[in-house]
Amino acid sequence: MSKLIMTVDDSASIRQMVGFTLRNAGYEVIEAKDGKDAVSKLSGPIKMVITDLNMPNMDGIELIRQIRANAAYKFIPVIMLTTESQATRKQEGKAAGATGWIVKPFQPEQLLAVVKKVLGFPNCPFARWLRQTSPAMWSNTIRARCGPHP
Amino acid sequence: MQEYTALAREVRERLGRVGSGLARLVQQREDDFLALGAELQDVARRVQDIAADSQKLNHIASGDTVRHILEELVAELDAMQTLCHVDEDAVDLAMLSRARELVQQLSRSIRDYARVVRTLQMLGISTRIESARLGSDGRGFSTLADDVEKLGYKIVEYSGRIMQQAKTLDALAEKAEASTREMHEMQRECAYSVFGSIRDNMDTLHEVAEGSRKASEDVRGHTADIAASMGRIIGSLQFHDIVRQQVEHVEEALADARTGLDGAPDGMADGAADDDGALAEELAVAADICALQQAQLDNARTSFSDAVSTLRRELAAIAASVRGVGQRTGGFSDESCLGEDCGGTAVLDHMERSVAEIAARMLSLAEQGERMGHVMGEVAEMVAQMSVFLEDIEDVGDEIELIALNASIRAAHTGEKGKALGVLASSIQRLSQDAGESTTALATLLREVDGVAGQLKTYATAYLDSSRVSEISGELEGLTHGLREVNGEAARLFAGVGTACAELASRVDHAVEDMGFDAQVAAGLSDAADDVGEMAGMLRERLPASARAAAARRLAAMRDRYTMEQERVLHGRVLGGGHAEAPAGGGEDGYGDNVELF
Repeated sequence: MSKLIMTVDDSASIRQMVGFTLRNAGYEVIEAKDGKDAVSKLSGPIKMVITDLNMPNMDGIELIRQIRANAAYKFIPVIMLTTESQATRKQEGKAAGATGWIVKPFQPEQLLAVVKKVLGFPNCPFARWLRQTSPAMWSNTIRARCGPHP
Repeated sequence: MQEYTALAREVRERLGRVGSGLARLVQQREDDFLALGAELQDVARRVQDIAADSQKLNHIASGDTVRHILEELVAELDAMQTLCHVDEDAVDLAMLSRARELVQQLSRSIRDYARVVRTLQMLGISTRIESARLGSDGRGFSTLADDVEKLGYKIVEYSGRIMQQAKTLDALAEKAEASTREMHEMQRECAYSVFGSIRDNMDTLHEVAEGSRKASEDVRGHTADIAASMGRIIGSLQFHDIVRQQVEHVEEALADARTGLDGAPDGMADGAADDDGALAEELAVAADICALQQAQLDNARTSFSDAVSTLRRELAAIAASVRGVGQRTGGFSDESCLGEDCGGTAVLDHMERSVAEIAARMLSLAEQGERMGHVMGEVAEMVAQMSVFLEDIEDVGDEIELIALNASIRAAHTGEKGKALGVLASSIQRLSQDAGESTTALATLLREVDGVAGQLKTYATAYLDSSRVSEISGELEGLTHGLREVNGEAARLFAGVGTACAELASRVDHAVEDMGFDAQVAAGLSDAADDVGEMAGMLRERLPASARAAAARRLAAMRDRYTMEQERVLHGRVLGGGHAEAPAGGGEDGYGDNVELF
């Protein structure tokens, strides 16, 4: 069964391109036009969220906070896809619980590689073992898949 | 103060005109981008279908089915070799030739019999004369004369029948010889053409397989090119959103400049020096903002135009690649693809024709063989009939001996008076010996003829046995049927792929031709850039340096409002402030500079 991914962007053309790229690779896609719309559609077997940062009604950072506050989606990967490239904004996103950050424009193979990585990675038992030897090794990517660090 | 107030009013008005609807200029093109995106998705789906059909077609031309046909052809080779085998020793011809020789010898032998007949006739007359001379003593000799005469008639009759049969047989054997030669010629031709066809077909199959392998690689290359173009198009289509944001930021900046000027002149007392300085500073800020937005608008225009150029270029590349897929589908290299007789289906057509031709030749050979069999059978039958004369001829020999013996006995009984008849009896006895020799020779010939008949019958049976030919013909027909099915499927796919490629390429071409919205956007952005640039120049000429220095400090804070790295770089480039192009901060994961995983 294909995995369901939510794409959130106020630009219809970006939603279209993200959807096209993901659907072409066999994923199912649900679209939302801003953070608020995304929160209202956050139900069912959504495995990942790809969101813009600057959007009307609710921005991407707030959306991540809402997702992390929802027990059902607390650990799903959330990738920020934005024109924003400032380190402070990235740090803000990371702190809110973003799994990764992609600056627009994306190339399809980049997006798919990231999706594959965050949906397939990590091997949680191995990550937990690694965590024992290297306490710093508990990134948002690992947290998104394996839950809070042990 | 009045000068700055009037200037501020003019600039505020112009900023309002330039900024109003600037972002909408890009925003309203979203439908064009969405339509292009939808078109792209449809093109991608069609390309996938075409590539799948193309690969299927190339697989048919080089895959299991054709390989199977190749193996089958090789297997049929031995069988066909046997059937088309030319009897280099031509035993059947030699046999027919021998039959004709025997017939000629028989004719000669029969002619020897004519001498016996003449002698018999003379002896019969002499016996009858002598019998008359002896009167009552020679009465028994008239019976002997009758026997001699009858025997002569019998020999004449037998000889005539044998001669008649020999003539017919010779004519038939001649016809059989001609047919056999024709048959041998057909076998030679069949062997040559069959092996030639097999060799050609094998070469063609290898050629098709190799061509298809290369074509598959090329199609894969074209589809990879298309996928790469799609990727670049997806990247370019995002520039609608990127440029829209950039222009929105310009609109916001121009609105800020306008707001700064809004607050200054009307609420200030005419002639106040502080107010004069403040207005000059606001105008200087507006000048810097205008200079900065000129750069941002130029950059936005370039980004937009580059993106649309990329769309055009990559769509044209897709159309070319789609045409490439169409041309490389079917298993031939471009060089050998001349005119209509092009593509794997043509090869399969050729193969089907060749195999059908082989089957037809085999059947023709079988029919000729059958005809030969009948002729041989007739010859054999006729030769066999001649052996019937053997008994008659042997009877003649026996009868002469009896007559000779009878003549000797009667001559002995007659005593001195029948001395002359004794001489006749001796002649008949000698004739009996001669006839016996001729009869033996004739019988020997006829026995040999009988042997030849047996062998010819064997050949006739072999020629008439067309079961193996029918079997191979059936197998070839099966092979042809298989080829026809493959060919039909290949032709359907070939036509489908060709049509789909032509349609799709033409559709993409039209999409490229219809793509003219960038000119309007570029012109709008260019006009706006010229406008704000002209304002910046005009303001800077009329404002004091002190006002411009203060404005520069205030604008440094504006940099933090940008979202895009490119905007910050341009800001630094236009207004100073030392913002170098900063590394994107990603790239460590190997996904690219614009990607960072936390």
